[in-house]
Amino acid sequence: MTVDGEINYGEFKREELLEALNSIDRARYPLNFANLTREIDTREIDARAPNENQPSNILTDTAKSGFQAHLTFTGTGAEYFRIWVVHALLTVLSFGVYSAWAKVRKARWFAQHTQLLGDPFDYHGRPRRILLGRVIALGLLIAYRRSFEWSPIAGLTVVGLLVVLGPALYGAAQRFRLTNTSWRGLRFGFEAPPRTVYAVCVPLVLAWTSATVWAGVHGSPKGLRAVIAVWLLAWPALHASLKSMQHERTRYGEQRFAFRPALGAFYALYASAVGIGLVVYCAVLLVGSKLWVSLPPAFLGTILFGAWIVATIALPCIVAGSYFMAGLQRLVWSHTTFGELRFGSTIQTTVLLGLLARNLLLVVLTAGVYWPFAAVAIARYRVQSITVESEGPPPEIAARKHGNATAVGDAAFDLFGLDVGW
Amino acid sequence: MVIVSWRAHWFDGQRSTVHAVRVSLDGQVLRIRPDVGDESASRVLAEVPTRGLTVAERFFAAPRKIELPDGSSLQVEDDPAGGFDRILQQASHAPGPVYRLIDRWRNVLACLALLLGVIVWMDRQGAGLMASFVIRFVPSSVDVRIGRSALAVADALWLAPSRLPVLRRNALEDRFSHLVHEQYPDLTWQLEFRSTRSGADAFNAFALPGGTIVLLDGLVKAMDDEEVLAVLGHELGHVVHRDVMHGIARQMGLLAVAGVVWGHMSRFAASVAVGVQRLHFARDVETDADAFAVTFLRRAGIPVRSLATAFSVMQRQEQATGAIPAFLRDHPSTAERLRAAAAAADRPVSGSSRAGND
Repeated sequence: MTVDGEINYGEFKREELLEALNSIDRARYPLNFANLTREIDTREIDARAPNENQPSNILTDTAKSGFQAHLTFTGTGAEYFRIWVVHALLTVLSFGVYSAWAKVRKARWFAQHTQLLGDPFDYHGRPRRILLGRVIALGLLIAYRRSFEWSPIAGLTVVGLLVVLGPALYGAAQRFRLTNTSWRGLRFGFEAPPRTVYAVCVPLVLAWTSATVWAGVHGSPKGLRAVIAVWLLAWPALHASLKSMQHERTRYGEQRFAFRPALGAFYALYASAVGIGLVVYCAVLLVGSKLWVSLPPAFLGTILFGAWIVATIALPCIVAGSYFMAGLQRLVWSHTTFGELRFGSTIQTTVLLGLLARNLLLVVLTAGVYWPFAAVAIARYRVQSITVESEGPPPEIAARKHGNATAVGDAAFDLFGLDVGW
Repeated sequence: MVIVSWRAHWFDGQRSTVHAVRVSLDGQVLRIRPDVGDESASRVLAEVPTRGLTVAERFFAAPRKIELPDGSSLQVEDDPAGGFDRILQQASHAPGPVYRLIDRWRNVLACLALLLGVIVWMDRQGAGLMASFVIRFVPSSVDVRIGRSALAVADALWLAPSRLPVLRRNALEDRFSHLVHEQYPDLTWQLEFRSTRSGADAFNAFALPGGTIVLLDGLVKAMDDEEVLAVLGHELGHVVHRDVMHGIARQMGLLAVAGVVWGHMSRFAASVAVGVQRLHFARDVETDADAFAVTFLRRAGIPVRSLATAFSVMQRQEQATGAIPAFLRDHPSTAERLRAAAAAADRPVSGSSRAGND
């Protein structure tokens, strides 16, 4: 039996590596696969480096043929643990003020450890602007959460404010995040006219606030189910339009990404995720009720009963959740292109599920201390699943002057949790 | 002569082209040469004074990011010993204080110990102190509104009108009203009788923010008037101390701390942790409310013994339905409360009580 992750690809010849890449079972040996692609990526850098026989024209990129590559993630849980501990302490002691500086370092750490074709990304956001953004976002969030307790008029005013400001803040957030991200010395960017951003975001804000508005205006939760049902049916379409805008309005240098519409695929994904959740829910309910009959209602019985109650909620969520996360990543990236470059994802539900289950369990067992290790393990798998391929060599992209980006929007959508990003 | 140099990628900021180069640091100058075999012979592509460089904080083994004044940038592969970084630091690019905390495990562990200390203190004292401070600025009209909407939700989903005889309800309310007026003439309060939609005689009583006390039929049926008054005395303690509002403020504070430490992704785990802490906190509050009830009964001239007998009725009820494990209970165990109430009943009337004097 071979153990996943034990093969040392450093000893392989170039041809052997390519052969291994063709024959490897990605689902069964995800660690081997990650190591293999990392090794291939590293070698490609070596191949591109000019050698003595060539003229010293360093402007030539020597890769001539097509390529296929995975994103790689080089950060470790131990490193992130150190950053996390110091950030958490300083943020608590500064009553949250340090969180803006913490966010910048964290984003830089993640970007600098995410590599494409051997070169890492980078993040350049400014903490002071993020801090201002967070203050404004926190004000809006508190106003939204509390306003219906004052009066329906106050509540509706705040919702109106969210409809007017929300999309603008969202657009600003995307711009801030992308113009402050770079790869190979060039910045990304986000270019969407206000008309587009409002057309996509206003329905999302309305859907998100509808339950609160209904309860706030009526004063009772009656009829809420109908309102929620209507928005749930519309949600996959809203999500599809949001993803479509996010990806096709992003640019790198002067060139824009493209996104093929995928409305049907979004509905199929949501429907099957809900279906899987329901099947797991019923299965847990059934197994639990069988067990429950045969157990005496003693102390042990009570503990098992509690565990069963938790399982009926947690198991469907985590199974359907990892199916959805994996499906969404595959769906979104397989519809994204950048010139000749095509993206994709090799993420597997079963691998993600195992990873999530193991890491969540360890977080709970260590009372939260394992959290940074878990976050890195999950992020690594999700990042390394993304593939880029092209028939031709990596394109050379020219820069474009980037405009001003405000951090207010960035922080606003961080706090509202509306950024359903990848 | 051998030049000590490091491999780097140089990006001009105009195109995404990779320029493989080697960089060397000579005194106060950084030199960039093409990455070819014989370095000493190759021409120097750029010479930049180190003062003009913008040097990003280093992350462990990640390539070092350096921005040049002309808008181009370097991505330097440092050697495992960090030789490039050391020379760069000597050229006046010393890392900041936070970086020095992160860089050494000893400092990180000290920060972890301090963080755990702060969290434990927040849980035991800090959040409670801050909550007491904050709710002073919350007008009581907010309590009333929250209490009203909580009762509306409970009425819509769970509660039904009381099926108790009107005579008994009126008698209880009149007597309680008289006693409260005697002891707390300015207090706003309201008594609501309810049964449950399921029809089962739910055995419970609870206080909502704003002074509303809800009594469920099952409890009233199982007790005599003085025992019910003892329970009402306990709930009155929650009203007088604004315990529910205090609990909400405290929980919000702890959730904020949990959010900072574990972030948005683990909001679920954070709320579980805070939830368990809420139960722990609630048990202390319940003990205080029991003490309040003892004082209330004593001042009203009702034997304190009725609190103890109310608890034994509760205990019988629990034995019929099964007790909840200790860590999931939001009240101290009924046996403990019975013992404390019985001890209070045996104490002479002059014995001091810590609750109810304010």
